[in-house]
Amino acid sequence: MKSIKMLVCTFALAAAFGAALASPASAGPREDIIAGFMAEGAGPGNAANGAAMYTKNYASGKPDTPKCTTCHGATPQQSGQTRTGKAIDPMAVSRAPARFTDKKKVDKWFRRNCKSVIGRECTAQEKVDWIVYLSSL
Amino acid sequence: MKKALIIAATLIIASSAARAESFTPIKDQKITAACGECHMTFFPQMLPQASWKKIIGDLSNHFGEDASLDADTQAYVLNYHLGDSADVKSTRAAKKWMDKVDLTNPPERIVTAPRFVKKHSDKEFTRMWDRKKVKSKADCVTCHKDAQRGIFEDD
Repeated sequence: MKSIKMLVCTFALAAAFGAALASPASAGPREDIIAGFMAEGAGPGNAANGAAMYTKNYASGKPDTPKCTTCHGATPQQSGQTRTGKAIDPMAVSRAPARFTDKKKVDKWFRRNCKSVIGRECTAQEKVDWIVYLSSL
Repeated sequence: MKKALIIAATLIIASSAARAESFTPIKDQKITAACGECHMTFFPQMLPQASWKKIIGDLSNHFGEDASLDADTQAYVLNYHLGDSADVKSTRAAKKWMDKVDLTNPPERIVTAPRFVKKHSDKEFTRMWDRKKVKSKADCVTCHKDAQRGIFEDD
């Protein structure tokens, strides 16, 4: 019974958040991905925290990649470059609308890049903050 | 005189064409997706099997980054490379890339393979790297424009 209550609660939260974010448009793949992370325990996204992540010098992961902007653009609206010189599309959804719409891709890159930069997997909350920030620009 | 010039020009063209190295372009979508998002898809014939086993065997520490793949994709990428490695192929390029390779201590990266070192050892190349602002030695296409198509000209 308790688990059903929790489930209902999670769905209600996710639905409320999705509505707040996408209102009045209907939920899309990005909202589904966010709802998935909320089901893993994250609260509503905090864009300011996401912005802080984008520029923070973590230096706790691999030495060659101390921060997100080692490879991503100096601002999310700018293109970045991999360490081998390949262009990376901007992270801002307004500049690259396909961002955060493919769950497999999102999981793959959070896993790799959080480990490379921070030295651990990102929390569900960090993932939601990140996506909400980059969707807000 | 004119004839001599034509002969000279022909010789130059012929010799530069002879120096070009070619590989079969990689068209496998799984490889371009798994490897090509971060870097040019390098040609398996540039390294022996032992090197690829080392490199693709530990993608969580891939030249300073976590480049981990799911187990199935990793196995696919490894097999693709093992089937086309320098020591199992008999193409001209594969033979050249095996030249002077010590299989008891296989190269850990393409840029330390004897063939790469030999072809990029001149001071001229160092200057070109600086001038063209080559981001990394693995960024072949900055100088070799057709690298991704498998053609490496001396330019």
